[in-house]
Amino acid sequence: MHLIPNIALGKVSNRSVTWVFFPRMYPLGAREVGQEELAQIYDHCVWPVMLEIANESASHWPVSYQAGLCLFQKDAGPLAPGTVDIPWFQLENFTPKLLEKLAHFEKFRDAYFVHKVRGIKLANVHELDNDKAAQEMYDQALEFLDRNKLDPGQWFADVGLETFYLDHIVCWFTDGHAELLWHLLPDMEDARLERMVHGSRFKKDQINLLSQASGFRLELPSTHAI
Amino acid sequence: MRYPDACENPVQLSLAQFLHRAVELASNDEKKAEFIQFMLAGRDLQQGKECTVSVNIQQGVEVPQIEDLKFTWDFDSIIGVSHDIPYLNALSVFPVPPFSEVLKHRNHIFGNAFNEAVSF
Repeated sequence: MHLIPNIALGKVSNRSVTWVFFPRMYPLGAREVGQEELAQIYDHCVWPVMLEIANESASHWPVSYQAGLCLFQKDAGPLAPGTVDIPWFQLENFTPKLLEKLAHFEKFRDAYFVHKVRGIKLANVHELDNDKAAQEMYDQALEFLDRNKLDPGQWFADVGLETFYLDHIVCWFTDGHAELLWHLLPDMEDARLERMVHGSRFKKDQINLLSQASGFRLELPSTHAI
Repeated sequence: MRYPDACENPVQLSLAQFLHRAVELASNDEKKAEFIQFMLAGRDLQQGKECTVSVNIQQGVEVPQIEDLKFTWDFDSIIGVSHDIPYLNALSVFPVPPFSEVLKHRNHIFGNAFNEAVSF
């Protein structure tokens, strides 16, 4: 997904970032969105849409991409990107109009948004068998999302599971990796599991110099291939 | 020992035994050289005989009972794809989108560049 040209459109109070992805630029060989395109996006899409839907806050917005560059680039130092807020009730109005404007440019057609709720690691740890806590954690993590509008098939949660043993550090035996994987991927054939454990996608994280103790990372080919 | 890499008189130690011996050597000023040999080359003298030490962490290991283990879980991150911005909070927009915020690293989600579910 990171290979598709994208830009950071904005964020929600440091907890979430929203990107705009431009799939049409991918077959053109582009791997990132350049300055010229950023100027087109702001000058011909973001800025006119803002003028249309929230003219009263227009004075908070730079009048052009170039003006924005000057505004946020202070004393030839590094860019300190400022932000301007769009109230949540205007987002419903803002997004279709933005996509419509973007679609006027062939390379920006079929754009879509990708959201990442981040920085919630350890913020919502709870015990595995505590259903109430699980629900609370889930609600808290998603509190700023309008859940009635989400398509569950398009949202993915990266869940961390940790094991604690009082006064100890718990680690896996290297010999146990295949069995662990067998539990994690119960539908996978044994022969294929065996190949995966010895394959190039299987990365071991050895504990110090103890080869018998290690964790592992495994990049699965595709979520649909399992 | 004839060759530095010769494996003579192999001795297998548990992790606890290994650490115990290492501390014993390290705390004796006259045995600094032996400590280094022990730690880096796995060489030791036992009853006056030079031996090659290896560590087997499974030896005498304390396997915790499942009921003594505590499992916790959390969300590391949540990623969604959409054609709208379904937020209940204000979105802080970057008029000049910083390159540092571009998604440049693998996020473990694979699919077609064109997302039919969100095509516009």
